[in-house]
Order: sequence, then C-alpha cells, then structure tokens
Amino acid sequence: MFENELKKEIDFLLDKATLLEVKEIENDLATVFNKVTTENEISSQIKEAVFYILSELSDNVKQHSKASKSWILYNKDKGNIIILLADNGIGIPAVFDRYFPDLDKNDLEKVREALEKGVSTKGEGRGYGLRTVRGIVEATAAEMVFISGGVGYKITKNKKDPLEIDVAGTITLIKIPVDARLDSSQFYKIIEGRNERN
Amino acid sequence: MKEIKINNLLKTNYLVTRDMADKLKKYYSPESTFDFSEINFISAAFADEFQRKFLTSRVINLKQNVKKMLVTVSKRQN
Repeated sequence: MFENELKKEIDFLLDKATLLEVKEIENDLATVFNKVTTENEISSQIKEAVFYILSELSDNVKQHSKASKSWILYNKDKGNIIILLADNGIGIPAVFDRYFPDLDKNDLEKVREALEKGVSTKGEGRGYGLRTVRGIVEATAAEMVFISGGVGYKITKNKKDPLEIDVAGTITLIKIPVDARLDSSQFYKIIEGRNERN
Repeated sequence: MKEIKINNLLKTNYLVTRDMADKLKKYYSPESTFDFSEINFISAAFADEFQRKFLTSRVINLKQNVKKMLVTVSKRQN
C-alpha cells in the first residue's frame, strides 16, 4: 500500500522534473545551484549540503549508471526542500553483478551495501558518495527514498524500511526540512566518515 | 608560471563531477597553478579526482569551503 502511494508520488515528481542529457549534467546542475544560492530561508550549510547531494548523485550517474538520460528536480513544498534525481541506467545490482560476479548477495543487500559501506568499482579511496548522502539525510532529520534496479530503502534518522517498486534505473528522492540545521564541523565529519555507526 | 583560471575553462563556478577535473588535464603542465578565485563550490568527487590528477600542483585563491573540501576528502576513512 505504502509502495503504491510512493510510486504515485515519484511519477508525479518525475513529470515535473527537468529531463537532461547525462553528458551535459554539469550545466543543468549549475542552473539548480544558482537557484539554491538565492534562497533566503535555507541556511548556508544546508545549501552546501544540497550542492553536495546533487553533485555526488550526478557523478554516480555519469560514472556508473550507463544512463543516457537523467531527470532532476529541486523544489520546495510543505516546509521541505525536495530533491529528485533519476536516471534510466542499469542500476546498482547490475553494477555489482558486473564488477563483483562472485558476491553472494541479493539485489536489496547490494543496494544496502552501497548505501552503508560505500562501494568502489575503481580502486581504493572511492565509493563514499551514497554513504555520505545517507549521513547527511540522517543528520538533518531528512527523509530519503533510494531505489535502484527496482529495490531500495526509505531512510530516516532511526529507520530504514526496505522497498520494492517497479521503476527502471535509479531514483533518489530526498526531503530536507527547510529549517534544518547542520553545523559545518558535523557536515565535514560526515564526509570524512567520522560519524559512522555501522 | 602558467595560471589556469578554472572557471574560465569550465564555464561554471561549481565544480561537481570527476569529469570536470579530467577536463583540466589538457590545460595542465608541471608549471601550472590553478586559480580557484571564482569557484563557489567543489564536490567531494571533483576534489578527489583533482587531487589524484594534480597532486603536487599549486592552488591559489581558494574560498574557505573549497579549501575545507580538499582537506576533508584527503582525510576520508573507510
């Protein structure tokens, strides 16, 4: 039931999102960043966090998804900053299958590993993006829905509910309270990985 | 000394993807200095790729948040 409502919400937001070519994703991000910069009711550190989230998700699309198209939405609604980034790529489970064919995990476990531990397909010191985005979500009392290859999680500060939704590619939907606060030292601790409890 | 004014080359004040760091390669020489004066934000992905590619390069005119991201990314933990 909940998943049906979520699917409707995602479809609604995707209709409002801007369709863009993955190879030109940086240009569209700059447009969104300029819009975020002019917001008066959002703290400067939350703006930096929004930039961080959109950057990391977009870089993942470019580096790993093999997507040709992406959809981006930045909006404010009912006291929340709404961020949606979607692509028509192969999804995280397929990336795992390609790079780690012997890994004995189901699709949901693969997505969980990417969100919690960080996974790199290109060597040491990489693959922190999703883990950090999750850290920012938890630190700002935000809500994140992450679905890749049809499976994923709804994540809040104290809860992680598994989801199974029939959507292609990867979709990230994040709602951050407009009045959320995140101090600078906490933000950089999250990026460093010093906030981890897993 | 050759100064590379990054925003002029990449046509933006926001450095977001690894590809953007990669694009700087063609302008780089060992005598280069990277000028970040108009750059408002760099992502962790850009910062990591930039440091991998231009480890010993000089950087100038960093805003506080840009400097902080470069330092933070170099300290990331597994």
